[in-house]
Formats: sequence, C-alpha cells, structure tokens
Amino acid sequence: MITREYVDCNKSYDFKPLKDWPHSLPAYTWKEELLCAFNDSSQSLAIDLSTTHLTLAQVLKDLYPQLSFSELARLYHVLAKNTEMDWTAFFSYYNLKYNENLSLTLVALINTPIPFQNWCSEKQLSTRDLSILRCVKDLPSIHFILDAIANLSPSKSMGSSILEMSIELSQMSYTLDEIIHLFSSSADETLHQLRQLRFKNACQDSQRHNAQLQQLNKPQGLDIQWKRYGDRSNLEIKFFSENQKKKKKKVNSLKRWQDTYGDESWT
Amino acid sequence: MDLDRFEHFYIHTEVEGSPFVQRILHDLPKDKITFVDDRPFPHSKGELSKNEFDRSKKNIFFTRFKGQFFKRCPGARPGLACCNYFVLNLGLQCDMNCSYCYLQSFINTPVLTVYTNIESALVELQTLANYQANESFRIGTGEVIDSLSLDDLTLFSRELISFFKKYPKWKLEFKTKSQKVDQFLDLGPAPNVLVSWSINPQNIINSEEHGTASLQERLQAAVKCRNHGFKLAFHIDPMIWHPQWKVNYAELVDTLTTTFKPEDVNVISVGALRFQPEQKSIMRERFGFNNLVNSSEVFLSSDGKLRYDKRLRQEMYEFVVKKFKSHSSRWNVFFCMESPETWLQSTYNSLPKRVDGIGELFDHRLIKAAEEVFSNENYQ
Repeated sequence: MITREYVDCNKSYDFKPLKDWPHSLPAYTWKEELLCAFNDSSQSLAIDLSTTHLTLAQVLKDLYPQLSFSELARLYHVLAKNTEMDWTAFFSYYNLKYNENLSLTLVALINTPIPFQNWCSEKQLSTRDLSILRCVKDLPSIHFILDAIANLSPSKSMGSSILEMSIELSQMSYTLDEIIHLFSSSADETLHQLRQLRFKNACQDSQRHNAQLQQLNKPQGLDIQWKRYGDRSNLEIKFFSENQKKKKKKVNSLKRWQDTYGDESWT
Repeated sequence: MDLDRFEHFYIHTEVEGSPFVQRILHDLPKDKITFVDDRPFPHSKGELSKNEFDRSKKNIFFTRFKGQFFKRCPGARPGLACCNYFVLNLGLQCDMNCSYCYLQSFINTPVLTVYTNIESALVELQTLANYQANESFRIGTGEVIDSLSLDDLTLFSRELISFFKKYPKWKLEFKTKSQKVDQFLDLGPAPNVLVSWSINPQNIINSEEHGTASLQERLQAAVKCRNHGFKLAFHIDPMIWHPQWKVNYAELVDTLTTTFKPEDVNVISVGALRFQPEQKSIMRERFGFNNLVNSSEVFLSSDGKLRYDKRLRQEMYEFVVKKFKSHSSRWNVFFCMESPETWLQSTYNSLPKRVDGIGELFDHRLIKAAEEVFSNENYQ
C-alpha cells in the first residue's frame, strides 16, 4: 500500500461533499488526487487506493455510499477529464442509468447557484425533477429564480412544481421581472400565483364561475365552490350534518337551489 | 424520392440478400450505406436524449422483425372507448417531426427502423384470414411509423393492397401526413383500402407538424386516391387549442366538406391534444416553449395523460361534429381515445356502439376473434 504526504496531494477532485470526512478516518487518494478529507489539516498521510485491485468507481462508491444528486453532479464535473472513470458502473451504484440525459442534467445542475444545489440535495430531487433545467439555454439568466426557490425552501413536491412553472414561464413570453414578482414568502402562495399565470385561461374560467357563485344566494351551511381536479372542473358541494333530519334539510335546500339556478349556467 | 435528408442507411447483414434489400440498394446513395451485424448506435439505450432522438430520424436501419407484427391498437385500454382497431407495424419511428408526437416518449431505439420481412407480416394476416375472412377487421399500418412517407422506397403499400383485395370484408388503413400516393394508385379501385390523413389547419401544420406535407398537398393526394377508387378517412387529431381555433377548424371542415362527399370518406376521427407526462421533457428540449403544444394548458387526466380541460375538449369536439353535421348528417365522425363518459356528454348523447354509421367500429367481438386465432398454439 502506498502512502503519500497529505500536503503534497492535489485537491482538484474536491466536489464539496455536504458532510465532512470523519477525522478518525485516514485520507485517501487516487494517485496524487485526494478523494476525501479535502479540508482536514489534521491529516498528515493519505493512502493511495489506485494501487489496489479496486477501480476508481468502486473506491468512490465505498467512500461515499450515499451522495445527493447535486453532489453527484459536482463529482461528475470535477472528474470529467478522468479517463479511468467508468461512469456507467459508478452511477449504477446509485441506481442511476448513465446516459446522455443524465449527463446533460448533471451539467445543467452544476451551472446553478450553490444554494439551489443544496436545496436540491436536501429535498433529494431526481433527474426527472430537474429535467426542466435541460430546456434552458441560458441558465445564468434564471439564477435569481433559482436563488428565490432556494430562499423559499419549499417541500420537494411544491418546489418541483415551482421550479417547473417558473422556468416554463421564463421560457415563454414572460419577463423575469414578471415572474419574480409572483414569489412571496410562502411557497403555497408562490405556487398559487405561478399557476394563475401558467394556466391563465383555466384559472380565469374558475374565477368567473366562483364570481358567479358569489352573486347567488347559496343555501346556508353548504360550502359550494368551483374546483379543479386534474382535467375536470365543476362545483364542489360540502356539508356536514349531525343527524338525518338536518341532512334532509340541507339536501332539500340544495335541491331548491338547483331548481332556481339550474345546471346549465355552470357549463 | 427525397433520400438526401437522411444521414445514413444501415442494413443488417442478415437481410442483405433479401429481395427487398436487393431492390432498394439501387435507390440508396452508395456513400451512405453501411452493412452492420448489430443495431447501429449500440450505446444509446433506454430513454433517448434530445440529440439521440433527432439523430434517430435521420438514420434508417433495415432489418428483420422477429416479433408479431399484428397487434391491437394502444387505444384499447380500460377506461377508453375502443374503436376496434388493429395495427401492423412495419417499422418504428417517423421521418417527420411533429412537436406533439407520442413516439418521443415511446421509442428507445436510436434509428428509424424499417422491417424488411413484410412477407412474415403477410403470413400472419393469412393465418387470421384462414379463420376470420368474413369479419370486418380494421387494420392500420400507421401507429409507430407513417404509413406512406417512405412508401415510395419500401413499396409496402403495393403488397398490402394486393393482399387486402382478396378479403373485401377487411379494411386496411394507411395513415399519413405525407402526399406520397402515386406508387400504388394503379392498384385501385380497392374500396376496402382506406387512405387516411391526419389533418390540421395550415397554421397548426406550420407551427407543430414540421417536415410534413401541407394541408393542400395532403388533400390533393386524397383527391387522387378517391379518383382511383380508394376510400378515405381523416383524423382531425390532435386538435390544438389556440385563440382562433373556431375559425380555423371551421375552415378546415368547410374545405373537407366541399372537396369530398360523405360517401368518399369512411370515417372522420376527432381527438384533442394529449400526451404522457414523461414526454414533456423531450418535447420542451426539442421544440422550446413558444409553440402551441408546449405552452398549452393541460392537466392530468384519469388515464394518466395530460389533456386539455374536459369541458374545453368537449366544446372542441362538439364544434367540429356540429360543423360537419351542418353540412350533412351523413358524415361519420367519432372521438379517438376518449372515455365513454365523453361520448355520453357529447352531441351523440350515446355510447359509440349505438351511434349510426360508427357503431360497427366499436363491436368488440372482433378483438376476441383475433385473440383466439393468435393464441392458437399452432400459430405460436
């Protein structure tokens, strides 16, 4: 086994792993390149694993059994020129299929701001969640949208929707100013505002129906709203009753309401 | 033949000596031919990237198909009103380039493949014909490849028409967005051969159907087919919403109804834009966002596809059906890949099998009949 002086080792493979390398473990290298403990001044020697029977892909997997998608992207970036690396084998350890789409997504992610990359790591976004990045020709132009998402720190599903909708709008005819104004301190509200613009016609249609509803004398105790579920939208009627008598009363008032206003006005 | 648009032609050595390959070798540019022992681009596997998909349209691979050619249409799924259609896939991938094309989420081979063993497909058809010659099967060749855009090279149409003429109860449908029909016109009349066009207003063709024939070219080709004794069909599918959709689709219906008579046209199917959610990514990468498909307001439907709002779809269908019926009640219009509920809430107010003129299309006894023949051990 070959050891090297830690201070003599290169750090060009520093892919900024999210967790510090444990002090109790030695530093490892591949030839003269450090693979871990990039900023650990307590290390004096590093063990060169390139002389073992292991491949670079196996070594990296063993050192980092868990890596987020952003960390994988950074690793892919720093090792891009390494001809020994078997990327197909490496990514298969992380249940990813190495193909052009994965490669393009990783490259796109590398070109996003670090806070956004960290949010992607934290929420465990996948290739599919981030595929929208591949559609953007000029990623730096949307950096402040990505920063805004990172600041908002939404949940994975909400954040993926915000990311998708805000990028779609930015690539359509909307200016970045128009889009960034839709961001508020609440992820819920931001998503709502983005949806209003992305699905403008459908939202206007719902607003029109709800405005119509406001003008009608709705039966008391019944919550009637125009709602969308997937590709369907219609009246949603909710009520609660403690007993049969009250239930009957509400159903009857609903029948009277329907007789007065009919179905046709809603279609 | 416009073969210049292709970058390369790969021919599997297994089929090098076949009559089909021997014939087309004279048509292919010699400097673009390579004989191969395996599929080209072996490293492209699984989901294709934008670049791989683009490249797959420019490289043709001639090879033998080892599976079963004859299959049920993918529309035959739970929850959709199935129109009893069967498909015969003589290749895979299309040389045209529509932004909404479902092949973008379907294809995982990095070349346009043409199967050279049409004789095997004809054997399958003959097997079915031996048992079910008098049933009214509808069989199409345009599911995963355009039926005619390469037909001036392959000439598959000629073999199929000759076969189907022996079985007048069966219907063969060529589905295309091209204008290439001259290569088989001399085989008419063939009233059980439908030549069908997927059509849209010219503004949609310009915006979304790249590399296809213009509306006028498609209709002129349809006129030629009609004049040579072929039946026609039109698929106004996918209808694409845009601010002037009513004006443009009304004009399209008017053009059709003034160019053709209801008796020239077997059926007209109508469908609205729909695609799998996983298709969004490659569509956006390939065509950007400033087009009607990628900027459309689509929502997840109960069948897992993204579709326009159901009311909007119904409004679009109603509009087209009423427009046709205002010209003549004899136009047979049906909805493609829609739920029974859509039919019940439409102008027809009925399930499709009870609608005059199109009910026969939805007779599912035929599916069972075909399945019985192909599940026969002797066939396997």
